[in-house]
Amino acid sequence: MTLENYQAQLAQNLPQTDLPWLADLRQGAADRFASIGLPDRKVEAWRYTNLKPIQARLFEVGPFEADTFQADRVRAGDTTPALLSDSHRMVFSDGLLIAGAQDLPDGVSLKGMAQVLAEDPEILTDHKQGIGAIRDLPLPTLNRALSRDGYVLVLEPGVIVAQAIEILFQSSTGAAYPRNLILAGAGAQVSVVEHYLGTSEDDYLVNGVTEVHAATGAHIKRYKIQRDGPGASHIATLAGQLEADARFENFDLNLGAKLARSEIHMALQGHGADASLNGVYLLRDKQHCDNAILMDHVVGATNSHQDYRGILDDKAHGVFQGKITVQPDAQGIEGHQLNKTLLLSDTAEIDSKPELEIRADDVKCSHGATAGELDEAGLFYLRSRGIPEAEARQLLMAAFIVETLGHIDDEAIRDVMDGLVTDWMAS
Amino acid sequence: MSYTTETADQVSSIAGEKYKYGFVTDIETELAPMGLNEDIIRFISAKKDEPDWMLQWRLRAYERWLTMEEPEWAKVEYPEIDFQDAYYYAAPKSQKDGPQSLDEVDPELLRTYEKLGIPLHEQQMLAGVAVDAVFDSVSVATTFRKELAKAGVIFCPISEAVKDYPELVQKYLGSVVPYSDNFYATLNSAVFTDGSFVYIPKGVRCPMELSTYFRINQANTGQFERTLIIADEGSYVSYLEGCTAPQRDENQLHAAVVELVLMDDAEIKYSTVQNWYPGDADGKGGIYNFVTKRAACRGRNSKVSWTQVETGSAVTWKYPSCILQGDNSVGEFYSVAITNNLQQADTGTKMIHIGENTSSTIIAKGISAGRSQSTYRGLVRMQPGAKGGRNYTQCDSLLIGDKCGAHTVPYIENRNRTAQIEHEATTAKISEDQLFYCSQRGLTDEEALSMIVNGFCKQVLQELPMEFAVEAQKLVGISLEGSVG
Amino acid sequence: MTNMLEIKDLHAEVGGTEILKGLSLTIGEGEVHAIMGPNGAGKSTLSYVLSGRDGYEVTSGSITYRGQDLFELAIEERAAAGIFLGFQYPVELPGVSSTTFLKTALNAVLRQRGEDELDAVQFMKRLRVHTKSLNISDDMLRRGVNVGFSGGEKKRNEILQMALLEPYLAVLDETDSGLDIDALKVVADGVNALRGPTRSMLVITHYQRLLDYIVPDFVHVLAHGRIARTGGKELALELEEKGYGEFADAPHGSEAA
Repeated sequence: MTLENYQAQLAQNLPQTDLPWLADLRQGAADRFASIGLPDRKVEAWRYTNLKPIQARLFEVGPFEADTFQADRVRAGDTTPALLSDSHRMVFSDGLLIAGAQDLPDGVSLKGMAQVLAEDPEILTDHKQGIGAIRDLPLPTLNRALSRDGYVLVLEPGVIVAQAIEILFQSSTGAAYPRNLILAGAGAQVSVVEHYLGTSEDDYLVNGVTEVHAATGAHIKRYKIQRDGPGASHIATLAGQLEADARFENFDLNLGAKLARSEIHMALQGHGADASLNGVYLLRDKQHCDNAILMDHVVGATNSHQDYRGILDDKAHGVFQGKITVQPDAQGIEGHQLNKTLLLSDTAEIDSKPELEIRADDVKCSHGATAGELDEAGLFYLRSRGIPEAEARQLLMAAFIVETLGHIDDEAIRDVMDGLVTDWMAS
Repeated sequence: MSYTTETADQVSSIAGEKYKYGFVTDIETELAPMGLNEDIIRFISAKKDEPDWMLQWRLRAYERWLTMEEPEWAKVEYPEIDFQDAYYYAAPKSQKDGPQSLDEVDPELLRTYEKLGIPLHEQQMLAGVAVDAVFDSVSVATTFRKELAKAGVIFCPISEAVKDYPELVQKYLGSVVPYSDNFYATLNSAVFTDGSFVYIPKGVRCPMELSTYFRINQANTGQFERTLIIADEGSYVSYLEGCTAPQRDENQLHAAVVELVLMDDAEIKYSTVQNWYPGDADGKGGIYNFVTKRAACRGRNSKVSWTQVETGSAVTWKYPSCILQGDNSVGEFYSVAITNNLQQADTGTKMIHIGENTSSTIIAKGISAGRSQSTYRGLVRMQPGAKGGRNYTQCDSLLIGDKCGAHTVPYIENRNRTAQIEHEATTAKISEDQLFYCSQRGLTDEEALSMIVNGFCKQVLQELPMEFAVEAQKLVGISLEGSVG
Repeated sequence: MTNMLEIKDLHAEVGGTEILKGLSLTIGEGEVHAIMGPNGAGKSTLSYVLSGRDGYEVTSGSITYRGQDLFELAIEERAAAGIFLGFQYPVELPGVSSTTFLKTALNAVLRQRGEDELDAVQFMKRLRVHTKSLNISDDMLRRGVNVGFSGGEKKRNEILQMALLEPYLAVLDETDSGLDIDALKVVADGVNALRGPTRSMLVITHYQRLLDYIVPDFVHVLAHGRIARTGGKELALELEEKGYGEFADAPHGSEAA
């Protein structure tokens, strides 16, 4: 299907097109995408990632069923075991909500985007246009045009959500365009796990957008576990705006999909804002994973930290593009960035571009990158103590990752990630 | 007021007028008609009395250039260059037939080089440095040629080499930087006028340092020099270049190409002190320095070392690179780039590891002051065959004042498991503690600044040959402070 | 008495250069042998060949360990069979906690020996016995293996591993390097406590000093890739006095005694 064909069906296929502003936004985005198309590798941000494989699936969005946003559904379609034993849970299947969250504490609203648009669109009043940094980028633009659902999490000021929120996005076919929004009031605290899981070997596409607004002093931890299917393409764009003293911690665990791209645009726009973006990518076969981060220190007295590590086997291709920008007059900045990659095979490839763009002088910024194989001396040392080679390799791989996993504050979530990492190494 | 701000203010209050090489030599000059077209290229080629193959090569480059676009990816901004509004050939008139010896060189020219601190009279020179002086479009003097010839070393203007050593030039010219390489290199291939040619034969250790001084004198001229150095098996040469230009209100283009070829066990040490006129405090005038420099380590165990101190030019676009093809070959890049006022520098290197056990080191120090912008841009690539390849990169930026920018754009690409790449970068300002400590010990802020910055650059400056290192240290101070000393 | 180790006419290269040039050496059960020699004689090469490190290529000769052809065993199999190498420069393993490392190694060795693995409680019990006598703090055990350890701590950690793994043949490569006299005594005490009738030791050192504390039964001089001389412990004292000058530039002049 082409975009033109798709536009003809837009009205039928997308929920709530009777909201005039929404219909306009979608039409505008569709028009824009029709004129710009997918970026090719001549575009610097896409230098190392070829999007041609997703072209064929772009418009295979399933029909929208009017009743999918019915609130408080029984978890009929939800048969996948939860990652966390104790969490508020929500499940999307091929882009549509199939199970809503139950028993939320006061001051917390967690609903599907389609439901919000149908029942409560004024929640979105200040966020209709989305965050400027990603508004005009091709893939978020396409998401804007085609998104049918997603989650909307709203925290009243001061609310501290004790249990983590776990959101499962399971996919098997076609294209899904989840659009998620987190609005955290002043001083609110929450941990959100986005779990992307493939249930088929199909070459389906997920092109999601998550936007995060953290008001003064809010503290948001967001964890993404990407385990899409072996044929899938997973594109995710996260945009965040942090007000004064707000903290945002993000962890991206990339295990699945044939083609994965995780792009983050983080704006530190209030004094004292702090962002810690970390991730682990474990790739084999012909997997391709591209982590692209733009950390924008808009004002002074803000801190940021990035630590991404990967292990690549077979013909896997890893990409890390991390940029720290310090805007003019944003004084008193600390920004650090680290990317380390282990290559296990002769055919794996890593491309790393840790970039600094500094326009103020009172800054302490650094970046480091390393790439190479497992330490031969370490391997020999372990084996000379009787540890068999395969086990010794695993120990060293785990040691390589452990520091990065250590950035995960929530113990239960860290254990889940650790388990997934260990499984990967053992398989 | 804080020490740093105060110092920054002092730095910015002293404009570029302290550029001491800003004088103009009043000398009769022969110019080609303004603008660029095929006839101009034929004119240049005829002036140089070139063989037809050279002319044809230039014309092919020109044809290609017409289809190319100026690169826009560098973090530099400047008004569009009108390539028709410049002279592509300027030569001192008295040079028409070329001097046979220094006695025949126009005394005005000799005085110019003396003023620049480069006496061309051999008896007055620092022992052990042979100089080729390039004035606008032509080489005006090359010293110590006889002594070098005894060792079998060829050191002459490239315009002469085209005639005297056509087989060498034809074989190697464009073999490292092809005429189609990039916009500026292609332009250079079409219109280059002079530059140095060096050939070090097998097993010869060049008995003295070779050096070229480039001087742009004439207004509205572009300078397009081309340097070709061939180090045959087991040879060694240390080559230095320096550049200056008069202070003029309009911008002038300098688009050079340098090609180095290294055979088995050969070593080239290439040092540059680039001090083209940087423009005034308001960004008026100055040289656009768009240079392509590349070394091909073709032989096993060959080694190339680029050291550069970049203090001049309004805009610098320059990435001296190493293609490490021979097994065990070594590439080094040591760079200090200082920008002040409205200068912009986008500079770095490329290390392409192809052969086994190749290693490279990159040490880049950027210092930004005033409202200037300084960018390190570099590529380290381990090709699939680069078994056991090693790279270590360190780029540090120092910011002086709160209106400048320092940027780091490294590309790190590893396609070989056994290759190791390590990259580190930091950005910081001069600490107030350091300045206070120095002041408390009786140094003025300017002295302190010069000392601290020199310390910051030491790793690079110590790579320069002795005579250059002293000059470079002074230059570091002068570039930042304008009038210290 | 059975021989613990028999090395016959061993030739080995590193990176294409022959380092060991016909080395022969026999170590009996319960014996402590010291190998001394000038720098570059091949002492460390011998220790790496015994433990099976990649890049140390045996070109001819044989090594029989407890009646078995050593070359048939992989690195970890040699460890399980009871060969322990105390490293001159113990390797740092950031991110691998010392306790995990020790437990993994001990259980791997037990498993290969066909014995029961230890659970966490049993392991800690056994560990405690040795950490106490070797003065190894809990803090050291919590850190990454050898990460941030002083020279003395690293060597004590080597001895701890030896004590846990209970080898038959301990090869101690320059265990004294980088140690002050007090640290040296602690390490030597640890080694001496492990001496026994079924355990042999090969102590490699450049200086005689260590042999004051770990008294050998035999002393060999390794020069130019072979054993140039063999004697009792008094040979060490003689070398201390005269230095290695005698062995410096006579590649083929002196044969094994």
